[in-house]
Amino acid sequence: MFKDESSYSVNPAGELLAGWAAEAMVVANKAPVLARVEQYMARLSLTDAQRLWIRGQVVAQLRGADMEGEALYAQAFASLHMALATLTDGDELDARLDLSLNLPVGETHDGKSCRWLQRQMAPATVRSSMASRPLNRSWGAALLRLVQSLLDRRAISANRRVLPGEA
Amino acid sequence: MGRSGARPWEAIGRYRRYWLSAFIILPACSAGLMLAQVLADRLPLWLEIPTLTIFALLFAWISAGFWTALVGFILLMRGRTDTAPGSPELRLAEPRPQSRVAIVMPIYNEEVERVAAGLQATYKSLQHAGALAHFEFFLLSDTRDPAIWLREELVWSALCQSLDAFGRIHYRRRPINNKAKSGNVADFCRRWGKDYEYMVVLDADSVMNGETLYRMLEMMEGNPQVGIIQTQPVAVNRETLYARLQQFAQHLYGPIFSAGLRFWQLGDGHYIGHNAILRTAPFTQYCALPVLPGRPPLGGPLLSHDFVEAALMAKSGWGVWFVPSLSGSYEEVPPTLIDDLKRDRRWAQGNLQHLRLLAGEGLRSAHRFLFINGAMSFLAAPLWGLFLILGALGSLHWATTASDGSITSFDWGWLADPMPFWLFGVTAVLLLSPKFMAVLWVVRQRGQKENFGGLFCLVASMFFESIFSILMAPIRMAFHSQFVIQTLMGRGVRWGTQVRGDQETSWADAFRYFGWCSVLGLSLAALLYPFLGAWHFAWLVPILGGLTAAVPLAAWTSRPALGRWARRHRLFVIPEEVHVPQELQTLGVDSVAYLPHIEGDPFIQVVVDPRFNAIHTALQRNRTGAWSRAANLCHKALEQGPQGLNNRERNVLLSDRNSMLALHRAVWSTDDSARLAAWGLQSDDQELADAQMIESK
Repeated sequence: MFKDESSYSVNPAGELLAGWAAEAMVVANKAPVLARVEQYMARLSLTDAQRLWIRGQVVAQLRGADMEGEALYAQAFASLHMALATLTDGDELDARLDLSLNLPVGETHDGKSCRWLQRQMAPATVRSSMASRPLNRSWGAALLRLVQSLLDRRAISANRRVLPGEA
Repeated sequence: MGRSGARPWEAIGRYRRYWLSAFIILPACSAGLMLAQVLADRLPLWLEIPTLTIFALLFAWISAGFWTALVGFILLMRGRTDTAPGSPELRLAEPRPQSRVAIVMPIYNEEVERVAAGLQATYKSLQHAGALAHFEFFLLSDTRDPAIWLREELVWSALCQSLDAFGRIHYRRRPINNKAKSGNVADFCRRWGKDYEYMVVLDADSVMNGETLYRMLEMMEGNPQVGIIQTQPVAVNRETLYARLQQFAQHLYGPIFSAGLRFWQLGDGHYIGHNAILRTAPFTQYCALPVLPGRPPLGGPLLSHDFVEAALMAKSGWGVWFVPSLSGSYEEVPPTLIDDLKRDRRWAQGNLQHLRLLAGEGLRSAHRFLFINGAMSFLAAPLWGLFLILGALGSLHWATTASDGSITSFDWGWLADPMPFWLFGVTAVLLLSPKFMAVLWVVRQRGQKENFGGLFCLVASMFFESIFSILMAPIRMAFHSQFVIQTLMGRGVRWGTQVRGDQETSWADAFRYFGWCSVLGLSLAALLYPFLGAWHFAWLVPILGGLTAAVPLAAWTSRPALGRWARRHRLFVIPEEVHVPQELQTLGVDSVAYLPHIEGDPFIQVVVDPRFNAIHTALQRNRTGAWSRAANLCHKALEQGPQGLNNRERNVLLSDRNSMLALHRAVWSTDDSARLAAWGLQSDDQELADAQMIESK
């Protein structure tokens, strides 16, 4: 689980010191990959603490990784997304969504921000049917009706339905 | 279900409509008889009968407008609008706490920022009125263009964030767009209609005042037998000269026509498809549109749905009321003549389709009349054209034939007969007097003429607007005739996007669209002048002049600069420009400056940008059925880049959550600089070099 500075009981810089030495080795060998990771993180509104922690997680995963090319990038981004998921104790997509919507990461909607956003976009459906009725009556029938109405209006006039709410 | 007697307004409405029918039919017959006296023994029957029939029809058509305006004028001058028993204005009830209203805005490939600005203005106005608790918004998109879909989705999320309106503003995109706008609204009714007792339908350019919306809700609550309440939206916000002329005319003449229309219609009113509140349950139950037998354009789905929906609502016993006294309802008009005519083309087809419903069982006679009236708005054009042709044939026949049947040289002495001048005068009065009535009404109201730029500017604007209308009439006649003929010959129109911005018509476009009108006008002028001579030719100048001037009229009136010039000189000013309502003040571009700015292809942005990707992907479901196809498309996208995918393929990927996540990860994990560039990402070497350069600086 990710913790920011306020959650640490000791000086966080001290705790991270050992990690930094290891990172220096990784950075030297895998600078382009980490640059890409930084490029990605720059697009998310992470706090400095979150960014550093995620970077540390990625570096830790890359340490000793014997890979090159796309496999290395894939490993780095898998680590990055895993770290993002850890921020919310759940899904990386929920974490990214929280960051995109400027919500406190993992602290709203029980960490299920995606489901919450879906409900905001479209409330639960309550189906009802709406079927059209044909309006086709021949002109002959319509004329006959007109003649009937002219001859004896009462014979053909129907009373109107009582509408809901009408006395 | 029980049965009920007639409603209180029905007898009044029937009585009034008998009078209207008499006012229309009797003068038309009288005028026809007078013309018959002139034509008797001078024209052969084959020419006389069609001439008289068309004349009587056209006379009836214009006199209907005149009587409506006159009644409206009298009502307004008496200082009260119609208050017949049963009018919804008379019985307002405070909305129950559980009353919910859905404000639905169906859109189709609209400019997203403008839609958001309009929705935001209405939302804020409702908030200001303290009525937000009863209302929720639904943005119902019918777009199939992935770029527009993505923009809409991101704008929706940003709008909700900015207004703190999650759960109050909803968004739905319909992937299959059957029955166009009416199908979109029906889709809403089927999904969510049960949850909302009422719905307010807005157009993409509609804005409504919060207090007006609340008042409409009060009317619905107080009148449970009312199914639809229609407001009179006023045209605002446009800058082109053409649109400003339309806005001015609508503001000045609109109220008297609206008051008159309300007087005749009462509870058998019309619905124009937007800026109206509807009772959802009866709308869902009774107002699904029938599909006409046969093929388009006259068969198939109905293109103009609103009139038919009102007719179906009234047929099932619900009241449909037009309430022009409700202010704070706005719309925008097409900016140019071309856009106006494009809209007319759709309306022409839709209104002609309505004629096929005339024999429909159970429709109220007022709505059958509205169907005829709507169709006549377009049929009047070819009838007028035909009347002119018959008139010309009659004149030639008359002038070249002596009373004993022998052919003589041209003799125009018959024109000394005063009767045609008298008829011409009556026609002119019917057409032009409503304009003077409207000015009189404005002048009589305290402070109102200042809202039109002052008395002098008001009269000058009316004068120029009348000249413009006279010149436009033959152009419209030519185009409307063309539309009617095209529809009758089976050529339909496709559902298209409407132009909402102030876009100028180039001279090339003006020539392309209106060149034939100008050529026709010039040719007829050259042909007829030698035969007619100056005096008789002068009678044809308004018609031939309008046709000839079609190209420059279309081009010049589309200029926003000319519109602004007119405004600076207080011409065609409308009250909303003098005192800008709060909800229109918040419509400016700056009001939605916070919306996400998406540069380039939105598809690329949504695949690459982790924030946009998160918002879009979160809103999709896993579509397992499409996974095998989506996997292939993911590979194709990575191999060929985003440009290798067409819109349909993009839609498949965009609709599946898993594919969007996979593609997002795959693009960021790629090592190939060419592929990265295709997705708008810098290669890492370049990124590092840039970083080093910045550091060294």
